[in-house]
Amino acid sequence: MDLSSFQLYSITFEVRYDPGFLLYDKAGLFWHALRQAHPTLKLTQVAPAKVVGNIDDQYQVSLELERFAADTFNPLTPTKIESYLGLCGTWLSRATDMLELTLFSRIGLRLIYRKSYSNIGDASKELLALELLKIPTGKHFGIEGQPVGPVYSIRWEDGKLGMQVNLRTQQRKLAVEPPLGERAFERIDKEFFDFDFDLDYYTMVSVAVGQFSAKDWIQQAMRVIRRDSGVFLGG
Amino acid sequence: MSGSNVIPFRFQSGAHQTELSARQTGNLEIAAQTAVVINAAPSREQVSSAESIYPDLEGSSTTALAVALGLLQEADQLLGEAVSAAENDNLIAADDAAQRVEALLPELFCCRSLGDGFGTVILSIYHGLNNLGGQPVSKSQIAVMAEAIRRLRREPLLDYDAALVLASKLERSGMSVDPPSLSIVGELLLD
Repeated sequence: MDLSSFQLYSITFEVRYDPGFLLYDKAGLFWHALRQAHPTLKLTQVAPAKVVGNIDDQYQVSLELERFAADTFNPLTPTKIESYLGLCGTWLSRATDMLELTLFSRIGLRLIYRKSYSNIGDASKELLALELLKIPTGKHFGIEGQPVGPVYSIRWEDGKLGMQVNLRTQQRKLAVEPPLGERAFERIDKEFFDFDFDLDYYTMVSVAVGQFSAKDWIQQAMRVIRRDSGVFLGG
Repeated sequence: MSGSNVIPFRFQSGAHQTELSARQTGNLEIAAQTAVVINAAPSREQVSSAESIYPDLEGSSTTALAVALGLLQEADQLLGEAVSAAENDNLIAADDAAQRVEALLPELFCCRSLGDGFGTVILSIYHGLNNLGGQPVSKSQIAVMAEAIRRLRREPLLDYDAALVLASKLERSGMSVDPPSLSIVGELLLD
């Protein structure tokens, strides 16, 4: 198994900082400018200390008192990732100027790679086959069966940069019920069985605004993740 | 509020503290008012060099940032040698090192997409050295150039205002940081 057998499911870029109190005075300027650049912007959450907006149902931007974040979701084509990098760089820079920030206390990039299966047993077997976990065999707790839903999690830190790696299997349910009397569509019930390779790359030191290029940092972090993932996946 | 007992509740959550106050009036009642206490001071050590936060600078050697950081490291080292030579009154060696820094500046200028601050500092040093008209650089000028390059190495995406402060320091050391053509325009305007 290697990373190419997974699909990149979501990317989240997040920057944390000490409270940017100017948010209370200038948040409107940020969202006004973002809507001018992306007329399809829809706000999904609005509170004094946190506003979240979606662009084209492809990107999500969040500006908070102590946090800026941008997300994008499956399907992630190279063109979409390139646009996302531009979005992160441009709008982090706008937020930084607006809030007059000088330091970022934490910068993080989270990538979730996902592989789907027809049942949780197959997903679990695949994770266990990587031999990252030592599982006792035989009957335990009065139950003779196969282990399901394994989770493996570990962190590496060098004092400046850190990385958390999670491998997990999960079962997700989607249920959509039509309103009473609605005949336009049937009730939807779906179950998904996933093997997620979830990576969180982050800084452990405060970084001056003048030291940080979002586009360079994200690209490099993504490259390092692609390069070194074989250690876990056995590829 | 007189006659009522105020009982503080304090919850610790990460770097933030949330403090609730409750009044005891027979039965315990949480007051409607809540005070949020947020630590405003930076809680983490600050990184000293830009290089250390980028996960794979070697693998991205063609990007403006990687090229700039490589050249700035070289310029920083040369200016360090120039400062040492100047302190030992070896002004010829100091000037030689400064000239080698000058040779790096056009390539550094090609990395100006990093920001206006970066371009401003590089151009100021470039014109400052050019406008000396063959005169050797002084000890103080070398020291200020070294400070400017070190700052850029630490903060390559330096903001424009901070870059102007560095340009002013270069000017105060006796360097003219404007392009020569600008003085001709100035004279024409005065005429």
